[in-house]
Amino acid sequence: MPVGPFGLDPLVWAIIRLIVAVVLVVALILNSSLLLIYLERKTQAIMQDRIGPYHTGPFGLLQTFADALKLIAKEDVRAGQTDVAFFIAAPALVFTPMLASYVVLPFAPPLVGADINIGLLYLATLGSMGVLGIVIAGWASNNKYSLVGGLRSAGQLISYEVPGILSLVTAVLVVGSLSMVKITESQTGPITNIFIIPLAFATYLVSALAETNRTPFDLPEAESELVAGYLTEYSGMRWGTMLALTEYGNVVVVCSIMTTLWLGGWNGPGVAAVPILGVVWFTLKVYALILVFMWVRATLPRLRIDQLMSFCWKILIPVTLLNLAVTAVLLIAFPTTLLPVAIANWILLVAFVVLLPVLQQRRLRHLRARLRERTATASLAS
Amino acid sequence: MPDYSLSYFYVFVFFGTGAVFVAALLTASGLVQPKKKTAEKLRTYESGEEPVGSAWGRYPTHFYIFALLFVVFDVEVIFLFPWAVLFRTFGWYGLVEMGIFIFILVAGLFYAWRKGALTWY
Amino acid sequence: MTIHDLLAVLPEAIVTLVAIVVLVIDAGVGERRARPWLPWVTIVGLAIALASQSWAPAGGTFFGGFVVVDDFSRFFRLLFIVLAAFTVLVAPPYLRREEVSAGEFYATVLFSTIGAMTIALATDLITLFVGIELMSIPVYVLAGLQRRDRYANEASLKYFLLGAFSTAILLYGFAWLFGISGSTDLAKIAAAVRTAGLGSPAVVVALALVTTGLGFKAAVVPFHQWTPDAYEGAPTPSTAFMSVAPKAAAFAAILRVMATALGPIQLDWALVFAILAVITMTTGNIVALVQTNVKRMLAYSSIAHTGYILAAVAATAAGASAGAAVLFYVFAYGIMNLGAFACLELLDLEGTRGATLDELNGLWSRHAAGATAFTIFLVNLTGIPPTVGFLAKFLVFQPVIDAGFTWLAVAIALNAAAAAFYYLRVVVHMFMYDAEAAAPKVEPARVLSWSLGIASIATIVLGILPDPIYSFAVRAAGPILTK
Repeated sequence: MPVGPFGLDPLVWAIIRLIVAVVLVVALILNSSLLLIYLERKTQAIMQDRIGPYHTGPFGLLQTFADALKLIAKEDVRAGQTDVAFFIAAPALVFTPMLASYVVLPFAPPLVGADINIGLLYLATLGSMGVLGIVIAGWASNNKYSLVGGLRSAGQLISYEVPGILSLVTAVLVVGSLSMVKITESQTGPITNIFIIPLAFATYLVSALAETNRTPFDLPEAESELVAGYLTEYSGMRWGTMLALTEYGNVVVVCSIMTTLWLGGWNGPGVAAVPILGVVWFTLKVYALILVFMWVRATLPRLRIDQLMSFCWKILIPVTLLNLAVTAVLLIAFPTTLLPVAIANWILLVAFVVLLPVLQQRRLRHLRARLRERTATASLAS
Repeated sequence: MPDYSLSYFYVFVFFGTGAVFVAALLTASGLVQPKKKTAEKLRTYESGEEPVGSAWGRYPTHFYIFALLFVVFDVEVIFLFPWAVLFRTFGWYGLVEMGIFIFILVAGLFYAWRKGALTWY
Repeated sequence: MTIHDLLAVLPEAIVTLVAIVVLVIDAGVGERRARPWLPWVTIVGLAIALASQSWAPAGGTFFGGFVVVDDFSRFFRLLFIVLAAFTVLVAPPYLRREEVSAGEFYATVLFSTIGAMTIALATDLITLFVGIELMSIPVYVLAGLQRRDRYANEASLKYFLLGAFSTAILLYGFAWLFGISGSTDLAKIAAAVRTAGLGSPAVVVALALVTTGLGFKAAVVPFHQWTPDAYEGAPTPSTAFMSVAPKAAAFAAILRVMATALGPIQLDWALVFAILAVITMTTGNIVALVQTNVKRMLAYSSIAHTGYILAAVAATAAGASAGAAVLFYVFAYGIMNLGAFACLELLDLEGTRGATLDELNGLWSRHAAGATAFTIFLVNLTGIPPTVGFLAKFLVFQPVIDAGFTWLAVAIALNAAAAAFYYLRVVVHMFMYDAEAAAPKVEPARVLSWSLGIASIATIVLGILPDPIYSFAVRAAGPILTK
């Protein structure tokens, strides 16, 4: 009879491990959203030359904690016109896929919920499930802002999912596995995937910003035009679940995906000797990426919906498809070395970054000329 | 391999936890929160205006076209994942097959683009 | 899977490529500039596809037994490519007049053609089903391509709903066949059906469902109700195509499934098919008699022709000659019916409506060539010698009598005589009556007139010298009907 760790029956051990994993993940999500909201406020404040929260606790650290307590004690209004069942179900529908994503995240060699052999596909699937809850929330609210926000969100999330997943596939081509653990283990050296396929990283970063409704892609909940979009009718802890917990939880998930696929996951100095050290490296990398997200938020203004969609379908998808094709051909042509892939990817990345403003300016010039033409004919007609 | 099915058991447990956690959180919140319903509070919020009519109306068809395009590309991606894992074993043949597949989709994207399906009015 | 497999379906691959190229050209250079030469791109592509057969491997099964290339599939390749080319040649004037988008029309016709060709390649229920869907769905689109027209919308919606319904029934039948045999391979199903026999209720259910599903596709009475509305409301070039190619494809599917998979119980379903044939041809002819709109009349006449072809299918006990009769009839019917519908495109009528009998008055004095071509096609449809239409009917008689259905042969003869009345009435209107003052304008279309002329002469030539097609049909029926 096989004996698991600590001399326990393997089945008992598995159940204990499962309970520990669930508790850890729920605690992690709660803590990380508290921490991330604080971090967000502080970074925004610093970048805008403000102080940010500082009254509650040391450095204002307890501010979000106080906010969370307030949210729980706050009345969550359900307006008279809503579709009851769906309105109540929506927070759970957006929260659950996010939570389930944590199962496959490889925090450290001994700290993986479940090493599913199709982990990445699983994550991609769950990423697209969240949109269901958002559309349902928008519809069930029976509010015009919410409906528009929900539909915008549907359009945006499903559109940006395509380049996002295509970038993931490009990474899978290089790594050759869908298991998050195997992907991490394939990048033990200092040359992680970001040096081999930087363009895929860049395109995934953009898609991830859109997938998590972060600026500059936060149109679904644009406060200034849509009054928080699909969240308009939500208040109290329902709002807290959907926005605070789910959104920040999703940010952690996409940053973990990027860390695993491109930054080498838990790998770092000293992990070989002390495996649990991996969790430190993993967390550091994830938080570095999250800071990039926050930096983007402080820097870029919100896009318009037509710009958002045309950027996805006319630029991002063709570029990711091209990148995928080039990577696949080079990998088959040079099966022993990744050097050609890396060179091609860097060239493509530079071309992408350099050509994008040029193309944009040409398009703008064209649009302005057409506008002038139209106003000229209009004034002639009048 | 017993670990294999156990992995998916974990997944189910996590899904269940998600639902239970949200339900528990909202119930706990419901126990401590005040409940004072007024007609004003229950009205649909439209920035202080009186709401006119219901929001359950027609959708603009643009969402529909994007949704169709998405379905096409998402199906493509489902085929891409297994191919990406095994493409070293398939070699050039698999590359050509996938090339044909992607070519047809790209032709479709080009067609949709030129016909103005990607323009947001 | 090897490169050998891909070469075996080279014609289909080329047609697919042509369809994509047509779409891309249409979208890329703009419809107005592409419109004049899109038909020629299509025709050249179809010609290359037909010619490419010579590079393909000699024949055999490919893709792990999912696809078979034999004379049967080659015969239908030829037929479908000819029909698609004919449709594309006669369509442009109508499309320009009614502002139907040209690129979409040609591409959709090509997509449907690929599906039809796939049906002929099938030795497996899955390939067969994919082919049927690939053939049907573009045809629903073709019916509604004239988007602003109310009748076209009605036609498309009716066709789509009933088509989807029939597909579901057919698929359910396939599921039963799979349940009986545990395989989707037609030969393995045949073996299982042979052991089970008609005593097994599952076989009866499968037979009923498959007959119903395929009957819908071929417009067999009593599953024909969609036909008149769909044919009348669809844009005329679409009607021309969808009255022939899907029907031919449906008969390809019927031969593949009935003769191969359900071949062991042939004697039992043959009687059902014979009865259906009589009902179909009689209903089609009687209702056609009272029509005043020529397009609707042709729709009912196409139902009647389904009956004649079905009679030949019922006679498969007679061996390869029955199969050859089906194939030859399908070929002849394709050209003459497509031609007859295409003749209606000569007249400038508003919307999708076909000409009424009175509007055809005096066509002879206004467009002699068109009236002559129309007459030849109608004579073909009637079955008067020396046309290919006569020969096709004549070839049906022998196997029907050989198979022991003398009463069926009598029914065919009576029906053919009755049909002469409404076909020749159109001719009378064109030649004997004077044109009305408000007669519709005649389209001055050169390519259309030439194509109709060549096709009508071809029907007479084939009526006198049928051997190239007939011997091809005999060879094609071989793999299906000789065990």
